[in-house]
Amino acid sequence: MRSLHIFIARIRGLFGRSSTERDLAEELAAHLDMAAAEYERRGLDPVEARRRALLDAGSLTAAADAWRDQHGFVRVESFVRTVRQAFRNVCHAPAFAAIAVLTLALGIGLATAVFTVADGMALRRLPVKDQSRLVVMWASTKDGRFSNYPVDHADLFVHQSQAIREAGYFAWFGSAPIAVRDGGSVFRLRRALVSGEFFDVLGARAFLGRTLEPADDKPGAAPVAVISYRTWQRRLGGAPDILGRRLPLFDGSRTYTVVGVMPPGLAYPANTEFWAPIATSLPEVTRSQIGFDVIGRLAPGATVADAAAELSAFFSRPQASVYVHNLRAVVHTLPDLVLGNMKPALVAFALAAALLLLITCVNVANLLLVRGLGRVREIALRLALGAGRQRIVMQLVMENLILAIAGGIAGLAVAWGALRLFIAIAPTGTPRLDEITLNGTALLAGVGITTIAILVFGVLPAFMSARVDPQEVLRSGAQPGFSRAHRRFSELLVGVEVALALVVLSAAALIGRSLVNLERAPLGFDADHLLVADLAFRADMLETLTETNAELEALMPKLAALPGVVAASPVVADPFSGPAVWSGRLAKDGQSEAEAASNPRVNMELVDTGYFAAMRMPILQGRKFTAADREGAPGAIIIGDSTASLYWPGETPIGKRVVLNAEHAVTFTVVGVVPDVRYRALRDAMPSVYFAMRQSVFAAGPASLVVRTVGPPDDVVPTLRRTIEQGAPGIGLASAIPFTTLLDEPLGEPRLDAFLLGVFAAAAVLLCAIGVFGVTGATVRQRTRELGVRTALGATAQQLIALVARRGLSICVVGLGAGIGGALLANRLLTSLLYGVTPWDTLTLTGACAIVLVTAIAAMLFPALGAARVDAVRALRAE
Amino acid sequence: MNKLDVQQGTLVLMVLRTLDVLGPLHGYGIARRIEETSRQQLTLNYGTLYPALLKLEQEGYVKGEWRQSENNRRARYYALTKAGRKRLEREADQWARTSTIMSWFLHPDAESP
Repeated sequence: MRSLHIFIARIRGLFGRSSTERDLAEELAAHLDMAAAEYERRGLDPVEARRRALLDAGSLTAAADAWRDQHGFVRVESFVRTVRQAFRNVCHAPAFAAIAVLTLALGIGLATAVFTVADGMALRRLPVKDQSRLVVMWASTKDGRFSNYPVDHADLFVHQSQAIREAGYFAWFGSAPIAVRDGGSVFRLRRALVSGEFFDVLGARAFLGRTLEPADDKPGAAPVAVISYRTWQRRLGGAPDILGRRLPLFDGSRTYTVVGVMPPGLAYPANTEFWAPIATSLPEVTRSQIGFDVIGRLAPGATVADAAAELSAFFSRPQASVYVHNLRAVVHTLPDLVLGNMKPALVAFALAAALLLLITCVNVANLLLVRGLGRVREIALRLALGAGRQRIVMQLVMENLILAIAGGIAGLAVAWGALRLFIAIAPTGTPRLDEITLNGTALLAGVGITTIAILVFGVLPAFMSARVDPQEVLRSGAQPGFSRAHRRFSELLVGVEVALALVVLSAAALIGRSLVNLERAPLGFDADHLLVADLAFRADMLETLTETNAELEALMPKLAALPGVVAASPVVADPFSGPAVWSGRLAKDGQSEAEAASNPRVNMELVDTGYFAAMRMPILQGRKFTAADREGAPGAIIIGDSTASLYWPGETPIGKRVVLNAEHAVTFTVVGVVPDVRYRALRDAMPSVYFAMRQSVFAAGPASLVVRTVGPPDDVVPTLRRTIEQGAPGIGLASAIPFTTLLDEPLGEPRLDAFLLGVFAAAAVLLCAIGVFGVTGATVRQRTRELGVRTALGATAQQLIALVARRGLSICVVGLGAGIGGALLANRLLTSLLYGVTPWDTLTLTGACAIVLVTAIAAMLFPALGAARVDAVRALRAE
Repeated sequence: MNKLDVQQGTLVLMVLRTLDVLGPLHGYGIARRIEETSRQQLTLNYGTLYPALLKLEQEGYVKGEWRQSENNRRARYYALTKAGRKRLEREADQWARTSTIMSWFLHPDAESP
């Protein structure tokens, strides 16, 4: 086994002292000495003898190289040397290196940073164990009309289920705001009622303290609660001594002790701010009445469909009521529920990040290609001088690795900086941005992909030069290798870059225009100087709805009389809470119930006389509510503009009569018409109907206030709080937020989308410009001789510029053409994010084309002007 | 007349044979001997000889040793090992046959043995 012999010998060569390089030098020196001595013996003088000996011996370096290749392991031995040489080569072309590193830094950095933000907002793992195996289960009616029924006897189902291994349950409404006291302040926190196994099922660990345990969920146990990280930071000041803090409910029913803080990112179900066990949070009577959703972990091998089948079977069990027999199982995985609605934006960001990386790769590839073609001559020369091809490939790999590493490090710096910047200037209300740290996977992916591209294109010249005959290169002064095909390929890459930049830019422009449209959409009321307050009611002092409403009513004149307050009114729906809060159908006078069932659904609202003044909604027709619209008086309603046109198209709505429905067979007369508002949803002005609070026939009443102020809304909060405390001891002010602040919530995501895509687009266009600049510049350099000849033959500066620019422009135009096609395809994905603009909006596309074109022309300008300055004599002599 | 470069594969045989005939010898001696034996038709330079010697040593066919040379200079002497002698026998035989065959091809008119 000779190979083993060699291997051992090489290992010894690496470490042993038996035959070092010094030995070789000595051996070669001895050889020379002996050869020279022989020549001397033949009568030559010593100097000539030595010269002849050297000539005979041949290249010392080649011998040493060949010897080293044989000795030890080349890679290890020559590594340092290769690195040093590579560094030197990189530094020889500082402009190229700078542009390449800058490109990489921008591409990798921004793609990573933006993807980190998008990922942090939506894609990120929940802090639970194996999230894709977690399912949440409830019921819908078989006709699908009601889709959110709790599971009756969830505990029974959990007990007998096979498809899910561990399971718990939580109150079906998810989480509901409840007023708590912390020291002197009162605020509402969203409370989720969960069974004791809830956190065990999730596999979630407490960030501080402990999670809820089955022992906490026993009647008679001490009431404990765990809070979300966000609640701890935002509402409770991030106090380090939070464990053991007492959290009394405002209604005085119980006081929770905080035993744990959950990790950032966990707020299930439905933006929960704190979790409390069911048994210690509800009286026993209520507990048996309330329904639950089931949360479970799929057993190994079980699927979502298995779990659904099992729950459906549970509904049709003989003991269940007829009503339950008619239910159908609904099963979703937890990530689908929590992260589902962010998907369109996320897809857009992931695609944009991928495009940006692609542009980066194309850009760097092109730079390397152009530089590599310029180096074919150098490489051919080195091959001719006896360098091994393997060594040259190693050298190129090393050079490009240095670029890739430098680019990666710079990319990391850019990503870090950009992320800081995003967090600093991101719109307030951007969810979870404060919890974001740089995404390592995205960074690695970015660096990895670009490194592969760099290596592939960086080493290419070594193989291209393989086809070059060194003699040919050395003889002719021409640029070898830079054939028409190569130039075409390089130009194709620039075209691709232009196309991709256009795709990203047009997407960003569409999102940007959507944001502008959304911000400019008329609200229907005046959001400035408008305060929205949450109220809390003490169950021990205000026992019935009538009492509560009476107390609210009595409070209103006192509030309206406060200095700085113009008007105030109670209101049911929170801003941007959607139509689901309270909506219904009106029956026109004389319509049967069946006929009324097909009437359009309208948002319902219950307000006091000061409401329209507080909102500053103009009365378009008729009148506003007055103190006379009270119990005993004929029922009055005020309707929105589109309600009028939907119910009574072409007629005057004033004086029309509606019947609420069979349940409350009460007749109301339309007394006024107001504009449609975007109070419940910013994207849509919805038809609505307003009832007077004093004529309420409903089972629930308002729990919020709208207050119109003279100055900044925040200024009146202290007096407002004091007045409420003194004037209505059963009512507490839980929170008071200016409407303009609340607007940040629905605008937050569109603003962030627009901002991030804007950053992407800017980077894409910039990279594209760098690409155009680099390639045009290289083309001019490579054509210097030709340009010189042209100058010598009398070409004017303009003609030279035109020569260079025409080529560049046609590439851009072709690229833009392809880009328009790509944009039309890609922008469809954005449809659900757009507002007031179509994915194929001509103006946007034209504008984006113009921006890319102008940028490309600007990038071409410098090299083209350089072409005009080519000095004929010098260009020709340079050869 | 142009001198020939040593053909790949033949050098090893020449080195082994030289050491077989002359006994332990330094690199210069080997080179000189090969050049003389080839009647100055071949030239050897460092780049071919020393890597070949190193390879032979790594493979265990020769063994190198520092010694005093005839003119009192330290030089590395190479000696044939047992494995080297075996290889020489094997390859010499092979080479003789190959060269005969080659000559049949190149000079078909020549007398066949």
